[in-house]
Parts: sequence; C-alpha cells; structure tokens
Amino acid sequence: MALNTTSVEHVRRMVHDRWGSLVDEVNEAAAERDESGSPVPVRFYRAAGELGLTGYTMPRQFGGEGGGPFVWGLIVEHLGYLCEDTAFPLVMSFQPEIAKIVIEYCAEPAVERYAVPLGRGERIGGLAYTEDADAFSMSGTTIVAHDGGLVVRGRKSFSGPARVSDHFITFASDGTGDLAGVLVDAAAPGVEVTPVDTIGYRSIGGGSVTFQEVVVPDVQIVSRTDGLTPLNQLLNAARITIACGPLGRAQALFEHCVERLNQTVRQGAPLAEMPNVQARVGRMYVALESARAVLYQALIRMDEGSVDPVFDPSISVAKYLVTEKVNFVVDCAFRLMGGYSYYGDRRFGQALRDFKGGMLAAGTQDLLEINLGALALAGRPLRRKGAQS
Amino acid sequence: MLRFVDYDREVEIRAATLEEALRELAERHPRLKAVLFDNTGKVRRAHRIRLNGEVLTEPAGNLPLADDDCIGFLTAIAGG
Repeated sequence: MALNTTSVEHVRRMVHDRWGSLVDEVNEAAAERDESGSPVPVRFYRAAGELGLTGYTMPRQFGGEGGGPFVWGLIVEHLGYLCEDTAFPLVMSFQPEIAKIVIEYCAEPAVERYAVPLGRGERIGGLAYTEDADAFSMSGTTIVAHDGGLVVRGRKSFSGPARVSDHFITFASDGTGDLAGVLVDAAAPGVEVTPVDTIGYRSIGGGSVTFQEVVVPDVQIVSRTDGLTPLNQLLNAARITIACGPLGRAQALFEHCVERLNQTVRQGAPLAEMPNVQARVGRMYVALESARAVLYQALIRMDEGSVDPVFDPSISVAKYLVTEKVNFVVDCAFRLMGGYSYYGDRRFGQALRDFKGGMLAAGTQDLLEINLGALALAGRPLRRKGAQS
Repeated sequence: MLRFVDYDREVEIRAATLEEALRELAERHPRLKAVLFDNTGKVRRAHRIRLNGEVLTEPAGNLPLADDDCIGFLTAIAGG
C-alpha cells in the first residue's frame, strides 16, 4: 500500500470499526492491572484472534488475512494509540512473528499445532531466550540429545508473556557451543513459570521459565543447529512490534498533554500561550513526527521485501529512534504539566515506566548503536564478485 | 568474535577461496569454529562476511581470493 494520508486514515478507521470495542473492554481495568501487575486476561487475546486481529498479518494459507507489514504496523500503532494497556498490543502483535518462525522452520504437524492457533488467538506463545549471559556464553539452559529427541534443562530468567503463554519458543546451548531452538508446551511435565515483577509493562505476565528435564519430541524442534539465525529473525521482527505500539501511545499522551496545557492557567495566562511551553510542545511534535517517518520507512521497506531478515538496519534504526523519542515525549510531558503528570493522571507515570522497556527489549539501545555503527563503518551491503545470484 | 581468536585482530592466511580461508582460520582458532560455523558446517547467517570492506550479501564458498584480499566479520547479536 502506498503511503498517503488516505491510507493511514483508512487503517485507523478499520482498527476503530473492527477492534475498537475489544480495546474498550481491555481499557476498562487497565489501570488496576498496571497497579497489581496482573496479566491481561487470556480472553482478550482469544477475542483478538476471533476478531481477525492477531491473524491479520498471517499468511492466508495458514488462516490469516495476508496483510502486509506496512498496514500491520499502522494497525499496531493505532492500537497503541487507543489502548491504555500497553502490554496487550505488544503481546498480541508478537504472536504472528512467532508463528512465522514456526512456519519457516518446523514440520507441518508443528505448524498446525503451534503456528496456526497463534493467529486464531487459540494459543499464546512466548519467547524464552533471556539469560544472564551473551549468546555465545549461555550455559544456564541446555537443549541436548535424548533418546531420539531432545531434552531441555535450565532456567530462562525472563519471558514477556510467560504467565499467559501456552507454549514457548526457546533457544539454548546444545552443549557443544551451538544454539538449538525448540517449542515447549507450558503445560509439559517439568516446565515451571515463576512470576517476575517488572517496573513497566506490568500486565505483560512476565515470568522466569524453569525447564526440568523437559523432553521435546522431534516435531517440536525449530533448529538443531544455528538457532542463532531464527532467534535473530524473531528479534528483528520484534523490534518493529516494540516500536509501533509505543509510538501510538506516545501520540495519545501528547494529545492529552496539549489538551491539559490548553486548560491550564498560570501567572494569569494560559500555559499554552507561553513561548517556552510552545517550544517544548514543538520539540515533542518534531520527535513524534520524525519517529513516525523513520518507522514508516522501515515498514515500507518490509512491504517491498527489501529488509534483511536476520538483522536489518532500517528496522533497528526505527526501534532505536522510536524508543528514544517516546521516552523524550513523556519526559517533556512531566516537565510541562508538573504535578498533574506525577499524581493527577496515572497514564503518564505508566508510560514513563513502560517506555523504559523499549530501552532493553530485543537488544539494548547501546547494543544496537554498536551493531549499526559497525554496519555503517563496513559500508552498505553490496554484491561482490562470486556472489550467488 | 575477537575473544574466540584471543583478540588477534589480524590473521594472515594463504587460501585460494573464501571457504579455504575460513576453514584455515577455524583450524588455527578451534574455539572460533563453533561460533563461525553451525553443526552442519555452514557459516551462520548471523555473521556478515566482508571482503575488502564490502559486505557479501550471499558469500559463496568458491569465491576466489587474490593476494592481499582482506576478509572481515560483522556479527549483530542482541538480547531478547
């Protein structure tokens, strides 16, 4: 789809018309969940599947609507705008990405069991990868050969939707220095999820996942060798989902902030008429518009099929820039609104905590800087002599 | 990757093709082998191979090398 105002407005109307009622329901107890740390109820994810939201970007042959990355990104961005529970669009939008990895790497029975139901909202999947180690030093979890299949042992320190997941896609050392990847049912014998409290995305259902001699049949193997590649494909895709929702949420908060500034009088004059206030609002506006431009550019490149599936610079730049800008915008809102943002409207405090999550998810901002810098120094990818056509 | 070659930033290798060069490199630094190649012997796709500063999008093992050609590596790895 070509990028123009009509197409963007069309998608926003579609989100409102098809899924607006669901978002209203999700919003009803969003504040309570943020306070208590209780996960988004599974029924909302089920409803998202039934209403065709989760499956929108799934391939048609696997029960989806075959929507492209650009429209999907706009959908998730507008969900972020409408939805006061930031975890809901984040977890929901990650489901098709897990499904696509299963479709690409797994045999048909696994696709039927672990990919198709994600698009329908019948199951929820989580990535269980994080350990207190880098990818080449992981030893806290292993996936090793066992009686014709594999056995998973160890502990993953954090998985976003662990407490609501029906299955995990996990990557761990195979004991020889390689990474293997498997699908594990959350209800399988030996799998234990322990809640982990987080400062942001408190309703995501975060937890650690312990695997005690969990036997995995062949059909659930994602990758016996070079799990690093599907893992990085998943993280590459995750960066877009991490960018879209928060940008929409930051836009909504910006509009709340502007509305408040227009209603507030200080020193006998409306705050909105003060030049310093106008200048800061201008900086917030520039931040949002520039982040959106870069995000849309990455989405268009995804639509064109011109992104690197393993580590794409334009996707990483989008995640990096959006994360920096949404954090900047919410910080500005605190500076402009003072106590109102601190104790008068809890949504700003929630965003302050939630948006910090983007600083570390799918690669810390600093790590992305290193990767992007190294790529930039190496020059743009070019075909060379001997390259396969 | 540097830690798997004892932080030896430059290694001089005599090889006629890219594949030969990578195998020789792994022979000299056995700890690098499991990092560079997967268990089937293929170079992991998470590594970008550069030839004389330019990234090879689809590096072919039989790519001929000339004297003074310089092979480099870029690996983009991030957490979850």
